[in-house]
Amino acid sequence: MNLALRIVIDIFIVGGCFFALAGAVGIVRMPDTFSRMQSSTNITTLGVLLTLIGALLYCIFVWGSWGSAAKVIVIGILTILANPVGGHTMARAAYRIGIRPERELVIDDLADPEACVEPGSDAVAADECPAKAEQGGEEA
Amino acid sequence: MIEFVYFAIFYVLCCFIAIWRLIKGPTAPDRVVAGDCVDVLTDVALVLVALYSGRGIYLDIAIVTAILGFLSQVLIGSYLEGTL
Amino acid sequence: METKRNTTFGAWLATFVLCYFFWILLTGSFAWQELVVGAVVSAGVALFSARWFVHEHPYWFFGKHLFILIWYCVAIFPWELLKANWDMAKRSLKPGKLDINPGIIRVPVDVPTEYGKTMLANSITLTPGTITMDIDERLGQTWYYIHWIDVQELDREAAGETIKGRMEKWIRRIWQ
Repeated sequence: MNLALRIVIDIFIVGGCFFALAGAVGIVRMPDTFSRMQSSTNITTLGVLLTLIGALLYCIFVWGSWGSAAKVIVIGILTILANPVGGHTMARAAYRIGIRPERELVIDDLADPEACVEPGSDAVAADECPAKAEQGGEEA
Repeated sequence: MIEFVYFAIFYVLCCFIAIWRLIKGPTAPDRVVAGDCVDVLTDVALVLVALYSGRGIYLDIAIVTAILGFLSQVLIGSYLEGTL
Repeated sequence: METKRNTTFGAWLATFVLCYFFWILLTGSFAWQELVVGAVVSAGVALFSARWFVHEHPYWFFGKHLFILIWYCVAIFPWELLKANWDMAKRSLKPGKLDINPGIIRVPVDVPTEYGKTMLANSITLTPGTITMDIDERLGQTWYYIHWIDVQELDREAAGETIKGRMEKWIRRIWQ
């Protein structure tokens, strides 16, 4: 195996390991739910992608197998496309079931009573905004 | 190649750090987010094990795991929100 | 979601090609029995699911938009991703007190189509440090509610410029 290729693959995989460790430590250390979600994004983007790029190079140049390379690419694309959708869902659900951080937020625009009101609905309860906008977000 | 299995073990150790949050986490969204991280890290560990052992079947398992993790996260999210 | 959608041939064809590609990828063989069964199954699945899968013009990308999209996916977005990832990793690995300052802020967005809005929201969520929590449309203006781990600006326009950066300009260029 070519030495330069091996060094490149190892650099990619070590970078991925670094970001995965940073995300996992962040999940444990962060104080509130939303900050933990931010740290988990660290894992699901570069912690996965860099290692998959290394695996892709190994599949192409060492195995010479284009089927395996396509599978690795599909895993990467699935992770990239699927995780933000789950992230939106979890963040919105966490806010709507009433989870707030212990420390006060610097600015909280979602607490605005007009925040997520459907444009068509006229009967707007000013204090129950989360229950009103059931179909409010993006339809992913 | 033998070195890939060490990287896979590293990813599994990261999984254990996330599992600590999964057990301790005070609210349900914390647990779901930690569980999704465990899922994604397991994906990558499976890819590395495939490279180590030279068997392509682990890649298929990784694809299925990725799809199932996404589905579980979205389903639990809409269940918590009450729109399921 | 309430309106009834019709299945056009273009949407059916696009969904069929995608399903067939996945079939070939997962079976991994080119025997003719497998190909015929895959074609039948993909045609059936596409017939039932194309109307929810493709909402707008299905051949939109075959033009100069494709090159802008590839350039965005290869150069613009990974650079933003790398910067934000490095910033977030420094925050979570730094010993001592955590250096965070979270808040939820509403920023204006100006991207034409639904796909563009989804793409921008996903890009913002994939960047560590920002999560799109909700989308609101009122008075003809689209707003995103973004959880930001380190609030530097309280003004909404300036915060939007800081969060979206170059991504919004390129996505608007793709979808117009």
